[in-house]
Amino acid sequence: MTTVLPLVVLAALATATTVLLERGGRAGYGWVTGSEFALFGVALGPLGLDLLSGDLLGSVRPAVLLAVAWLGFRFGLRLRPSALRTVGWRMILASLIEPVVSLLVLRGLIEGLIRFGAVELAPATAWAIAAVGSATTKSSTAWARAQLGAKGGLTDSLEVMSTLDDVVLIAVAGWLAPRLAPVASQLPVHVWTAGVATLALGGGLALLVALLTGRGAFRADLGWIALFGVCALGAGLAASLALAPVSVAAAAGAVVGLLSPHADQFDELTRSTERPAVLVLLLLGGASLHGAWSVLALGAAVAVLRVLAKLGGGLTVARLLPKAVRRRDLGAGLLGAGGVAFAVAVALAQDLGPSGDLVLASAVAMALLGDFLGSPLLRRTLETAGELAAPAPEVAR
Amino acid sequence: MSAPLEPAAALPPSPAPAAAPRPRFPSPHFVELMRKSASLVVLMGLVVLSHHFAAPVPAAIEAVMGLGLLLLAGDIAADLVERIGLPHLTGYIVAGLLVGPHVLNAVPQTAVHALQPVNALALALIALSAGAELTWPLLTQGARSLLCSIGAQLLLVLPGSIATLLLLRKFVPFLAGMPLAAAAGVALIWGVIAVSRSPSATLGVLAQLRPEGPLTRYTLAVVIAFDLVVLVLFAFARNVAAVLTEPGASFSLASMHELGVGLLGSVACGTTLGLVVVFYLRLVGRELLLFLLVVGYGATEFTAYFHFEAMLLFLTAGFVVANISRQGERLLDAVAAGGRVIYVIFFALTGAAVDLGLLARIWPVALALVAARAVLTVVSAKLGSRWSKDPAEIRRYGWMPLISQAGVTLGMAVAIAEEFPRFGPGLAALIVAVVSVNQAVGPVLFKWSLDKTGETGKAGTARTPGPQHAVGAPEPAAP
Repeated sequence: MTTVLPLVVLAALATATTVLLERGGRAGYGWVTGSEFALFGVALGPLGLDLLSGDLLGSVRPAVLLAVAWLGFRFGLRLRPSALRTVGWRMILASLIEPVVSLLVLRGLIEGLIRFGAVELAPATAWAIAAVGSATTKSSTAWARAQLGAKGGLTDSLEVMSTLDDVVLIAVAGWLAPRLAPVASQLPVHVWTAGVATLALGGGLALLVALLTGRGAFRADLGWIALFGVCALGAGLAASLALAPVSVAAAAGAVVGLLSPHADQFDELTRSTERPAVLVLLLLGGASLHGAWSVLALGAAVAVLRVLAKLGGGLTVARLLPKAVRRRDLGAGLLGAGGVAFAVAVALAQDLGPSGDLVLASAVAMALLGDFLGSPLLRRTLETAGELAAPAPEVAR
Repeated sequence: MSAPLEPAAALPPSPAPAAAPRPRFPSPHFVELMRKSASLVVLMGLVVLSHHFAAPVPAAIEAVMGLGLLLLAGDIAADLVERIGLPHLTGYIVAGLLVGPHVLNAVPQTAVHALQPVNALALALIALSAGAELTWPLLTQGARSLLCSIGAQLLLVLPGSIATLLLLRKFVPFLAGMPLAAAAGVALIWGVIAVSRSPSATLGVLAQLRPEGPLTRYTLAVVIAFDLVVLVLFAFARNVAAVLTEPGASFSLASMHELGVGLLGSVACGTTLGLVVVFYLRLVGRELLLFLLVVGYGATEFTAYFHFEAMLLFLTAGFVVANISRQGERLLDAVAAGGRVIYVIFFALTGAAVDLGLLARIWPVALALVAARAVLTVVSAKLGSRWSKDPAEIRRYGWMPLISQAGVTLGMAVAIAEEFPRFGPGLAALIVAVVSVNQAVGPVLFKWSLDKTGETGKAGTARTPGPQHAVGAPEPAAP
């Protein structure tokens, strides 16, 4: 039997666990980003019960490529004009500056660790970890809306920021790809060449989607084929050109948003696929950790440093937000981690080889800390801003 | 949107007769054709550019790229062949053939091989939905017709095909020097292969045309039920052929025991899987397509490990879901939600696997076998319809849906090649050649028969998309 079958069984078990946890009323705390899947993977992987062995990441490389490209495409679609119409330019600016500041602060802190002699890291690995830490998952605010009844200006701002801030992560992934790719690039490894090639390929793929689905009545079956086919083709082409599949797919998604009249329908059609894709990647990431416990400890330390970086990022951009929602502790609402960032971490870990383990360990630690520290802090931030619905009176039994 | 109707009396007096509306140029059909052609140009441009710049990549990456290429090329080709009245399946197969390793080599052989698990998964989902289509009322209402059709085919096509191969054995390289008894063993396997039909092609055409009527019901019942019969016959034929062709081999009850265990195991596991699906649909009911993909993959690996019949297992599971619960429609909806993707992958890969070089080498024998099978099928279908007093449209067109052969038959060919090293690869090649012709002709004939009987489109629009694909569904909290 292939190594994929145990993974399938794991995915089924983890899904069952999530369903049981949700039914048990634990939706209020933790498990917001599905980090239990990562934990489950760690428990059953080489660091835990060692039920999975071999090169798990290598054996499911095509699936990872496809999932990462799919998530990248989904992200690109979110940049469509109709979705950004109601978002002001200051908000967009804040959404871009905050992750850049977080990235630089975290990169600086990691550099400090390197200089201090706590860890030896290649620059590419350090940038990869900092990029993964710079992004906030949008599931935190989605959870606050759905479970806590949050609504108001701050909730809206946090939602926009956590939705758009993946741009920085995806750009860094695109920049790193030619340096890390396992295939010898035929294109010059230059930031501009890679950038132009990424945009050109993404544009070509988007044109294909627009041509295939036309401007007439929307058909879901054609939409599925066009999107899935383009993501698979894009992921393969990007990998063979030593570009980042996530960046190419994101560029394609963004251009589809500009070219196709069906962009909103594409978004609705594929929305429910995002969580399953991320959950499987979380599980895979956890199960692929096989380094020493010291790597896990270092990952945990990086996750703690990320908290500082996010607080710094939030503090920097607070002035760009509307006065009514301007807060110094904005960064406390942006600690959720996972989603696209975790997917990129898994993809980068594949390319980084042995040092990829630290990227994965950091991503797992960030997801766990984001759930168990980030979610209560987000709740507190929204509570103090008066944006949480009053708790419903308990019905007497 | 149509304007609201007004009473005739309220209409103003008619002006002088208006000139006939000038035909719009460019016509919508022309625009569509140009759009599809442009997408083909863009697709080919991307492929050519990638071949120019891309470095050699591992098979896994080639497989991902190949999957995308097959999907997109299949979709474009399906649209183009629809314009000349051919079914989508033909377009998928042609696209696979063109981009596959034997023509353009945009999807190389390594990628086709690496995509076989995807193919097996697609076949599992098709079998699951085929089983769910086989409802008890469908079987009981058409029981007489079904029994007569199966009986006639077993009486005519099976022995007729055996005799044909034995008559042609001088022209078949791997049979030429074989003793008659051994050749009869090989011919028995061919006979069973010849009576196999294609549920996947049938469901693929039905998914596109959404027909309703006697011919549709007859086809569903006969093709899917017959598949169960063929699976049992094939297992039996393999055992008999082993005795007749392998020197020193003797018939033993142990082999029949293994056969029984394999078949009963498949049915038992299929029943269990069906119950799992029913419970999932009732208790959880979310992410159905994802659940089916996970279950399909897991069960496919499981059947490979225990040497069970995957097709039988999934057919049984679908049958259980449709007949012991009220979840059959939900299952069909969930599979239909990913339906076209599944069919494109399956048939485009089938097309990519067709070895044109091989076909060119053995075409005379393959063509003779195709012709003999077609004649025997026509005669047996007409005879079966006469016995069961079927309606005129079934008597006239009932043979047409029975020509197609695809996934199950190819799966049998692979099994034969592995199990019988002496003649297996040669017979498998011959089977692939015959299937290549039948899968090109069969769907066209089936579509033609549905058009002729007026059943096309009578079931309304396509099956409703599952809840996870409903446009406008509330957004789940994604990580």
